Amino acid sequence: MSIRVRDLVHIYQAGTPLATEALRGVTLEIQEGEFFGLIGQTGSGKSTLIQHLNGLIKPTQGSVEVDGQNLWERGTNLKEIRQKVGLVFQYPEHQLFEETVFADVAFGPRNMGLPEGEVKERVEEALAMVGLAWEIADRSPFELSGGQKRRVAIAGVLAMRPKYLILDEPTAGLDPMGREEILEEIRALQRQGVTVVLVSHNMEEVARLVTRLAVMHDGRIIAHGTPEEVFSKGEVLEEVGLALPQIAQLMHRLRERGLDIPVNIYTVEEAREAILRVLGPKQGKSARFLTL
Amino acid sequence: MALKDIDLEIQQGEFVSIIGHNGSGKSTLAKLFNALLLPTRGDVIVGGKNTKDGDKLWAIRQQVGMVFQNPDNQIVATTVEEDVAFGPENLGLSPDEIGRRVDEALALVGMEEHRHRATHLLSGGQKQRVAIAGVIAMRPSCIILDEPTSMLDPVGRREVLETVQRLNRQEGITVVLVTHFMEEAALAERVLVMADGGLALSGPPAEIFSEGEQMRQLRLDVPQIVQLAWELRRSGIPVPREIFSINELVDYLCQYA
Repeated sequence: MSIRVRDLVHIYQAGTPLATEALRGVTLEIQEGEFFGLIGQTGSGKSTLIQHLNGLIKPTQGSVEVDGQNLWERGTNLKEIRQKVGLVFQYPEHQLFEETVFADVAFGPRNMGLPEGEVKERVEEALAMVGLAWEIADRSPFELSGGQKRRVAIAGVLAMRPKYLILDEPTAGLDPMGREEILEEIRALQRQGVTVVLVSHNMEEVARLVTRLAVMHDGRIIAHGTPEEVFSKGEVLEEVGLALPQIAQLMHRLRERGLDIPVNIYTVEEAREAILRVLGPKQGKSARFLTL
Repeated sequence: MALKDIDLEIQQGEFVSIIGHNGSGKSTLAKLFNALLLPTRGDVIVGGKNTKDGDKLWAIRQQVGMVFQNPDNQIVATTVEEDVAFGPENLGLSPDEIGRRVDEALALVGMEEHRHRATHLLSGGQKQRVAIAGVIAMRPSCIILDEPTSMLDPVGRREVLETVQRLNRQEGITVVLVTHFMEEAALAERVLVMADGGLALSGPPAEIFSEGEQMRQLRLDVPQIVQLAWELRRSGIPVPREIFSINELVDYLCQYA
């Protein structure tokens, strides 16, 4: 089971003088259960690509298959596909519109025609998944904090019980703890078996979380693989306007300056270990340190 | 209540960053600095002028410019130079003077070669630099930037931050940077930490970011490089507390080795 994209081309306003080629032949497979990262500069085609994954837009050329089903074949029920592949846009809180949190999260399940009992069950479940207390269900989403609003919006997608969850910059504009909390919840969902596709500009997040990632540039995938594989190509990333995670940048620079140090390191703890292995605390200095 | 009992002074030429959890009052405070909002109680004095004094409103806004988060919401014209000229035109300046100011502002943000381009074709970082140029063309003494990089990719972020640092260092413009990125906050001379509408901490980055535990209690964090420096110090490598950037840490470690 997977989402499979083959030779995907998308041209906006095709056949007019304003035609813009946003995707120039993308082939990609996202396996069930993966935590997949998608990175690239603004305008590289990430958003266009993810909107193809649940059939929001139609390929100009090429195909998109979800669990073996071609989205644009005659007989495909796109409504079912969109329940299976949930899409959380950037700043999703801008799309909240109901009078209560409950009604907002219930909007999807109600549209699916589910009985009210099941709708309630799903809303409860979705709010719990994003770490919101049931008490806020009766409140207006517009009274909540930024981080809470974003969670309500994500819950609205989760209430559809998607098998694949695609999130476009879910932590943009949140404070550091808010980012951590949302990411922790996303990680928990992935552990429960939801396939996650994370679009992000935050290389630290991507390096830490994903199992595999793809780098987009100018409508194409220019690199893909595990974080180690992709981040070992520092120059390629810099060329397309991306940066290595901070810690990896540090390790690369130290290596350039002649220290024998591994470069595929992304966390503070690993970096500390690696630096100590090479430099070690100098005996004399550390002794003096202790007596102080 | 969005803000309570804040006492604060920012000196001409300073680079101050403001951090704080979502809803801590950072943006509210920033908007008080150029009279986009007026205090319920208390006063905001900009270069001797009280923001409550309606007659001084335009003088204050000319003196304290503001750049917001979303690059797409701030562009008003269809080409770069027209956009930058919008403010000076409204001041009723002569076409020569407007031209001079546009040239100067575009040079300062490094966008001269794009002056005839259509604004909708620019990248996010370029749009933010055009927005900054629009403010510069008003010859302000202070620029307030409210999360100017939160919608940008890494290169866009770097472009905007380099521009801001240059304006502060070379032109002596006071900079107030509101941000959720701790590495950005560490670029300033002074960091203000907001929490629940009040000013929780204020001090140089070395001091603020040495309070790791307190920062986490305030829903904030410490830049990764600072965390690493801290860990190395604990392990016996005496990294100085003033080190915040990758380059500084690399230089230090290579010299130590």
